[in-house]
Amino acid sequence: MFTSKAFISKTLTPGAESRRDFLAGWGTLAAGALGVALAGASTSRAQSSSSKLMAPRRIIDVHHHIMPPFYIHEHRRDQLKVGPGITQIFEWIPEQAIERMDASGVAASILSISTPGPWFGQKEEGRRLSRQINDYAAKMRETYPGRFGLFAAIPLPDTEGSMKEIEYAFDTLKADGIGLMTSYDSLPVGSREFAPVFDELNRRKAIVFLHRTVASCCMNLRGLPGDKEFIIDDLRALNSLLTGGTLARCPDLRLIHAHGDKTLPWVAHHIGAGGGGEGRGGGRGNPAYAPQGVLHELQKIYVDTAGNSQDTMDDMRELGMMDQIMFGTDNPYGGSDAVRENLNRLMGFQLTQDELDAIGRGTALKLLPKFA
Amino acid sequence: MLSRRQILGGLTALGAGALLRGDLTAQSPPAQTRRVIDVHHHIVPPQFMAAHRDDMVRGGAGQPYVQAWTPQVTLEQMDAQGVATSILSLSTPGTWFGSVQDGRKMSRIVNEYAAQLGRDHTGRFGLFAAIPVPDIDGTLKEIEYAFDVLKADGVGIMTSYDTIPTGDKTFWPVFEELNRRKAVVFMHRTAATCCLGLRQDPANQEFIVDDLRALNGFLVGGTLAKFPDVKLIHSHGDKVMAWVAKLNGAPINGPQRGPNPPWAPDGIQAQLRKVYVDSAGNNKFSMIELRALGMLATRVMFGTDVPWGNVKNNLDALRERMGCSREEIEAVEYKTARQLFPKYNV
Repeated sequence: MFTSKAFISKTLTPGAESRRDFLAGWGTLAAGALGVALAGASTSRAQSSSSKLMAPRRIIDVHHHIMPPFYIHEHRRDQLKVGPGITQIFEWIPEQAIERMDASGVAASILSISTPGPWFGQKEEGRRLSRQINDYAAKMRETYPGRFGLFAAIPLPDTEGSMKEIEYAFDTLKADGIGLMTSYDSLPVGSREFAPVFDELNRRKAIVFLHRTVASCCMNLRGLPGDKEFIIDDLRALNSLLTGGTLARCPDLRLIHAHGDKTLPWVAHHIGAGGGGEGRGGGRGNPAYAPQGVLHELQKIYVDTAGNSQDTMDDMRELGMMDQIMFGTDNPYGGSDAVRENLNRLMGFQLTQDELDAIGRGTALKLLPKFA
Repeated sequence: MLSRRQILGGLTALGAGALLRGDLTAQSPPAQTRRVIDVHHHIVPPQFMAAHRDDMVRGGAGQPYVQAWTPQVTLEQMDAQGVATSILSLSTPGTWFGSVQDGRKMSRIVNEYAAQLGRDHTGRFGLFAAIPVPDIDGTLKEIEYAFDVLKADGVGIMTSYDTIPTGDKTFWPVFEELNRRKAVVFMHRTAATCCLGLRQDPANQEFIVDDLRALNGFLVGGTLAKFPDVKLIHSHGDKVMAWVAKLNGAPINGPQRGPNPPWAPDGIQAQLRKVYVDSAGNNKFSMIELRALGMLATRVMFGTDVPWGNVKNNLDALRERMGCSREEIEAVEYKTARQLFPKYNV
């Protein structure tokens, strides 16, 4: 068994040893825990033996995208419009995902479609694409047992089609949650138009994986120097869910705001403070949209680690939200191997062993216990 | 029918109101002790409102109390709270509505109106002149007129024009001229035209969003570094300053990540620290962030956003609820503005 002290000292002194050593540190941690797990769980051994590296795998990646061939074929140009110059995503194949996961000790990744999602202005197409995407991910899950989960695509802003796909996703495919975009046809996801969908998701106590896109009205701003349209749509989405009352009205939702670490602290400080909530600015009582306080609503939200930084980790700690962070990679976005790069960066942060373990596995397991 | 008692009661209430106003006037600081300088104070010239009432309403800036603004509203508030000088500007959406001719005409009308107010009330009003960006030629002409004829204190610009953030190089010819004149540039939020549809949403943050775009564009697009003699006042910028620093890898709670980029040769925070912000409608957390950025004592000036905001509310908030020291409050109320506008140091 590893000693926690040794692991912390390694983690807290980045630069003292090579990155490989940090990974080895995680490997040690994983091996130790796995030793315990193996005593009573044969499934772990089975999964382990299918790994190329035979390395123990413990990490869970909640932010992992699929790029189905039919989706690229039909909408390559739309993807490039939202993410100019990002072409490595078109080389994605399921085997690549598995290879990267194995190489970095990732046990399971929850699959989702990235921006711009399945909606391109036509109901029939939105419904068909959502179904194809979800069936594709389900097939991948079947091919690699235990390695993948699914945040299902739904064709919002078509609420009727979305309700049907939610039913199919949960009741037939046994999806782990639903993937949403931050806006649809320029409407922030918290707009009242989408209330029926959130009410249904709340009824099902669903996990909702919220992913950034660029509002269609702002596509013309992409690529200008200092372009922050993704962050801006993150802000709109979070703010609309908060001040539109969705968060308070749907307390059973488990919302994962991918990349949300960069906007949630700002909203906590400036909307909470300026909007009369219990923000740090000293407010004038709780607003109607958050009867238990703005921070109460925000602190329920989960975020992931894809593309994050020590600064945002510090912000999350200051907000008392270290147990709301889950490992995420944004793979195949975010560089040549986003799984490895995000893991390396995480290893460099100033974190305690408990925090690291919660981020890499523990918090995800609370939401997704079947991956234990 | 109203009874005699009701009429008398009504009169009494009216009388009390008048008395109250009298008391306020009696308590307000006499002229020689007025020292507050309000750098964020809007006018709503009647000719402008008559021509663009619908545009104002559509942009979320046409509230009834805005339509009812008169110079008297402004002067009463200033007198009651000890404001020596307010520097006047136009608020969103500015003077650009897609027509070159109208933009030039409206800018001139607004500027002449403000200049006349200044002549009518000596020392009480300054001017951030309206300019018809994105019409570059018209803008350069109005800059010349505003500074050379009207002796304006600066120019007022919006955070974006026809959806293009104002720091974008499209507008560099204007900044070349403003830099040559070492001009004060008062930047005010608007909603980007592409996003006006979102203004109708109850949770809309399009003003903040455009503030973020504008400041980040000024920084990362290199406009701040390229035009070092422009003195940019980003009104309401207090809410996005620390965020922009952090989004670019220079958090207030730690060292900058990475080397100094070409658009911030002396460091990201150092580049941002050249920008001034105002105190209109800000919150305690903004003040904490501005203090951490080293800006509170030298880069924050008092602002009210009249007629959207109110002089007393903003002054009370600054003095009582922002957690500022006496020195910091004095810097915000008038000292920093006197540095930037020496002519109001009287």
